[in-house]
Amino acid sequence: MLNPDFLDRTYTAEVIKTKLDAYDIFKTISELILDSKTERYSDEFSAISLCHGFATSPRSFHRFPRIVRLPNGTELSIPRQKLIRGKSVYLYDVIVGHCKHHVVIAVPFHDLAEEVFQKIDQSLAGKGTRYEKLDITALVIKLGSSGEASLESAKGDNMLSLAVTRCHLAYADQQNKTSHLQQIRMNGSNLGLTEEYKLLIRSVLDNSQSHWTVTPIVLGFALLANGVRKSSAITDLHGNFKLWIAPGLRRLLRSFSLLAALESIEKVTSTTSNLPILRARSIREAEE
Amino acid sequence: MSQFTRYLAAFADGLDQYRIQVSESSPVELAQRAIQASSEMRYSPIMPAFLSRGAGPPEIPSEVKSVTFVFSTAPYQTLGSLKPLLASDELRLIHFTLGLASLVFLNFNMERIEDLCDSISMFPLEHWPVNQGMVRVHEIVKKIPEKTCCTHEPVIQLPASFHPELRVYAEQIAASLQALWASYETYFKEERNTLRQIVAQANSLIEHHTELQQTLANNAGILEQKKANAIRAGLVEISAALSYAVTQGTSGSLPVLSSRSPFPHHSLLGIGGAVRAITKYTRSLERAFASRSAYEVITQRYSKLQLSVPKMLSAYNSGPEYKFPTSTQQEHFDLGPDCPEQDPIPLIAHFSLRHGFMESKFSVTAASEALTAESMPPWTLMTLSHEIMHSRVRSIFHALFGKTWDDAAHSVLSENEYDEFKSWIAAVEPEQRMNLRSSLRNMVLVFCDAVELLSNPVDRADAEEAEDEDLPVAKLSERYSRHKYMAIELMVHFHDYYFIYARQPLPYLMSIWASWIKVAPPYARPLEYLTRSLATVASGTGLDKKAAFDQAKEYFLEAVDALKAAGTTSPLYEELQKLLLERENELRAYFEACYYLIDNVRLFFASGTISERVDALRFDPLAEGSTSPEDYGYSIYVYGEGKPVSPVRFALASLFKTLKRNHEIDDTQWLSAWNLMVISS
Repeated sequence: MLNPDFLDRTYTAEVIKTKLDAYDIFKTISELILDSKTERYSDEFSAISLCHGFATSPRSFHRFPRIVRLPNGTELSIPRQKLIRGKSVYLYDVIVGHCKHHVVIAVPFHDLAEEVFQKIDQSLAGKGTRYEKLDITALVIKLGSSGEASLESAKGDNMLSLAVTRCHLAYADQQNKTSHLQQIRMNGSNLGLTEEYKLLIRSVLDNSQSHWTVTPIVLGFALLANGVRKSSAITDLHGNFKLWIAPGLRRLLRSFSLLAALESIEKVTSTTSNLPILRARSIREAEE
Repeated sequence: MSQFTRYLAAFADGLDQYRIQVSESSPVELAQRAIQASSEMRYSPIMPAFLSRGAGPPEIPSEVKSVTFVFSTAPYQTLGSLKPLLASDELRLIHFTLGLASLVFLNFNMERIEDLCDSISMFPLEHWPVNQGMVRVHEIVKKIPEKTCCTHEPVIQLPASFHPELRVYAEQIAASLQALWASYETYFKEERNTLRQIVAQANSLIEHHTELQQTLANNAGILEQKKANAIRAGLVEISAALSYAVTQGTSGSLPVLSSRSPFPHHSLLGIGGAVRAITKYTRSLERAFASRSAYEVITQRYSKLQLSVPKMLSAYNSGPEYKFPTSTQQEHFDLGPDCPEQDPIPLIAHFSLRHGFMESKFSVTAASEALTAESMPPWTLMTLSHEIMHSRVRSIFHALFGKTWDDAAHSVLSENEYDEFKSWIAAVEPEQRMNLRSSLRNMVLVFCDAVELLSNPVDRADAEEAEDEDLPVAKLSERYSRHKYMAIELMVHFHDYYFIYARQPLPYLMSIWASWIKVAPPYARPLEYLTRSLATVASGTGLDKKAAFDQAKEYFLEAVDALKAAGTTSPLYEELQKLLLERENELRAYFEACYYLIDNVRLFFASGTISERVDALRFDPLAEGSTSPEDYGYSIYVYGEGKPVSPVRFALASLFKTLKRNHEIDDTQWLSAWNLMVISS
């Protein structure tokens, strides 16, 4: 079982989407990371490959080192350190997942993502790399005032649904040029069940109802199967994702179902050639 | 400082013998080398398009084996579509330029170019094979995409005149229009509509002139002659502006070596892309403002609306009704029927070293310095918006004072206007009901009169004596003529502040005071400039004049501190701070006059519908739902994806990055070219 060092953190992720199977991309990225270990998981519908390894950096991205006691009784300092070419570097988790035409890359710190994702993007140059992003305004509109939508399950037996768990709205008063209200942030386990959410997104659903131009800039959502929460993610306008991966990477595995569910909603997903992490201001602030 | 700007030079060693060099050294060195070798040299700056964050400039290839020019009309979007297709060593070889050949690929063979056809086949291209630095001229490949559009576009009917005085201008205008019509087919299709509007304008002027000639033949007076002269001046201006549009906008077209640009420092590829950028910038603002014409609103609505403005400037103290509305209540300007611009006069945009940023009736110029230093405050395209706002304010003055640009009435103020002013002033009721158009005109006259008195204070006894007398029309006209410019500037400031800077005091003050330290007038008249800027950011606050001044002063001091903190310093800042300390009473007196004018301009000329169009928040892919320059997603590592950016918001975000010393790289020329390239797309 793959067990990353920074399970306590929300991981910063990006999703690469290819026209054909993305295994080549997965392989290229796996080869870039140190001490990589790959495991395969499959069910009757899809095969998922997960790779865990480390990115090295002389820069420290963590606040405090953490000591963990391993089953054999030895103590390990997290992040791990290693001497490479005479220089001490920190080792940080890099997790890469592959399922069909999606590759998900995740690291535990936003600043680390800025370094690692750029290197990966450069190494994939010329391979037609495109990153998946969501039109979150369209998604909010599709989910409607209830903030929830039922989806078709590939397996047919589960009742799948999406629910909004976080929503950051930017308000611009273009008519009157006031700046009395600029942003509202909400988070909770199911915002759609609150009257406040219904009220605040009313202008997104029908922009003739208000003089505000309301733009969702960060959206968090959860995938529920028969009402049980299976996975969740937060995303911005540019294709940056924040994921909670959970021990054993179970939630990361399920994030592929989440991607499939999102893709089943019409006109919500698209791709970009721009590296999302270079435009990650809002989602970074959301995390902070 | 890292140097990201490169220069592509072609040395003519003989007839059809061109030596190519890509260099990062100063173009002056290249020119010196050309002089020593007695060869003609043409060069243009080219900028590596794909930079890596934290990395320096990519290396120049040791040997140039080919140069491919792609004449993309949307280079920002083309870069976005090319990015995923290029290997890392290829990314380093893609450059963007300010020319019509907006992209330059180094060392791509024709086979590889064919591979990229999905991204570039819709644009003309020219491929130069190079052997040991020499262009294989006879193997140059030129490709022009086949026209896919089969719809028949109506052609323009060129203006013509047989009048001996107009013939030369009609001919020049026709020749320029023909050249632009042909060029725009390939390089700027949407601008053909502008040519149609120019033709309509030119034809109308010629027709008007013909009618006047007939009147003049019947011994008409001096007024008709003045009008005829004004029309000729208008045709001269159109002709000259079109001529610049041809020389600047069409040189550098395919084939590259056949036309030399009039700009010596862009002699190889020209500045066609940069001209397209300032034209698009101008058109985007014109489109927004044409949706609701100030002239139409004033003449159709305000001339019937019984609303008055306060006439006692000394008693003016703003109030809640002057505040920007906070509810769904619409601005006065937006109420009533649709008032689109009837006969829009598109401004012909070009660069000018001599005029710098300037606007006139038919054209607008951007300073040529912007080609290399647009990212710096004195040369930012934000100044172009200021010039375009002058055009808007001119139409307001035309509507208020009942004069069109070719009107040549004997007097500055008509008898009727003077009588209305007199009765308004003399009325016992504090706010005599009169139509808003007349009220606004009177407001301008009161302002000019007040500024005159502030500039030339008189003894109290004289003033009291004078109060009993009517201000004669000659004196009022003189005062209006003398101080009209300040009323105009204040109105332009308001339009700039509200529409362009989205009513954000700090970015506005930082921007204008970063650019004003580079020009002479604010040093000569610091009090006037300071007052103007303070009154602008006070407009729409609804605060009484004392509080409004105090708040504006706080904004100003904060803006100056922010500029200094980011390294923008000037002795003028110290002088202004001294003024605020030592001559505050005098400043307050000027401020009150300016506040009176600009607050009323705000009340009657702010328009939510227009500003929504300027911001384009719902469409701009970089906007992130905010008009704040700090929230805007400006980045030199992000490439276009379909939708164009809002030129104004993009230019403002770039300027703000400069003011905060926050740009990712420190190469002014590269950044300026980037901004122009993005806006041109």
